[in-house]
Amino acid sequence: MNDPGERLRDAAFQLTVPPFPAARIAQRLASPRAPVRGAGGWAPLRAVALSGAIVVAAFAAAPPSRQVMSDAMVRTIERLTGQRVREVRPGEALPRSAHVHTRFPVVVPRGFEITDTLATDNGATLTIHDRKLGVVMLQERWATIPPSKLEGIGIHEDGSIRRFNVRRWTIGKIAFSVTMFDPHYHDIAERIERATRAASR
Amino acid sequence: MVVTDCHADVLAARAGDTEARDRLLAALWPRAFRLAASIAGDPQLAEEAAQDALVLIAARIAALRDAEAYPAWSASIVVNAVRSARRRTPRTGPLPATIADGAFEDATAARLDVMAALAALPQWLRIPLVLRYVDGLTSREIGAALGAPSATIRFRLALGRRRLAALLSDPASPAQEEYAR
Repeated sequence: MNDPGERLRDAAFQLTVPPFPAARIAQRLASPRAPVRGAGGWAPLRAVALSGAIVVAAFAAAPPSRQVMSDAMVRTIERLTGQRVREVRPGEALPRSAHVHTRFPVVVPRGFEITDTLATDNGATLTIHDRKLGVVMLQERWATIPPSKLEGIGIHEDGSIRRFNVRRWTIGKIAFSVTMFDPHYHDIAERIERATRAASR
Repeated sequence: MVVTDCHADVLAARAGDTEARDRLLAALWPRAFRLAASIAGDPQLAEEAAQDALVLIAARIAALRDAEAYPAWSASIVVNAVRSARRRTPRTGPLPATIADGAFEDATAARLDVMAALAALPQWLRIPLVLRYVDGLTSREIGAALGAPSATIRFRLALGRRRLAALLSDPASPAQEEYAR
């Protein structure tokens, strides 16, 4: 018998199995304690309690700001749009989607001219001007949110409605996509992907 | 596979029937012990881990959504129990000397060879091999138990078989190969 799998099976079935410890298992099942002690005993519980204490102490020392947009975020949006961005005041009624937008970490591909940025339902859309193809749209959204079913058909810059392919990639928690109306777009999409990866490092 | 005969008991135990649960545990015991002993290479640790696994299975059987998944589900609990037991009592060598010295009194030399060779394999190869050949699980079930794609499991099985065969033919050959995990 040369097959190592069969030899392993035979060896395992030759093991002497001890009698079923019915009483011991019944005793453990009846015990109000946790059925199995963890690898570190009480260490995980201690770690959780300690972490909680640290968080409470940190909040007590420095209460979290109610500012929705970080300074870096404001600067980024202003740089992208060339417009002054109004900061939302605490207490203002905000739709949940707006809250998501303002916290979305826009990744700006290096080496491209960004002509516009638009907050979408779950992220942002960057308008990229490319000398070869003209306007290319880069979608960025949270990677955990599935893409829209409407993707796959869109309005070309010449005004015609066309089907398109989508090149997708994910960096960390952000999913990127570029619509490609014809094969020429593949090249620019690849370059945009490389640029976003460079910007995310 | 042995465990599929327990389907009715799994359904009854899930519904809260304690007699069915006890029958299930008694039927599972030899399988759990063999799995644990093959993975751990230490009968005492295996017995402890198998007990832990059975207690966990009894406590969690009500939460098992798909009774068909019982073989993979119970195997994953046994594997995790072995890992936990090993962490509690870490061992430095691949196989405790007590086994090679004959801790299994009725063990044959051939079986010890196989077990020693198995213990020389890294866990990520040893566990899929044991689940396939000792427990009879399919690649898909092993993948479900270990949280890995079945293609990955097939690769590990092929590599594990090859390394095991090499170790059985030449016990002095190193278990390490050029493959990355």
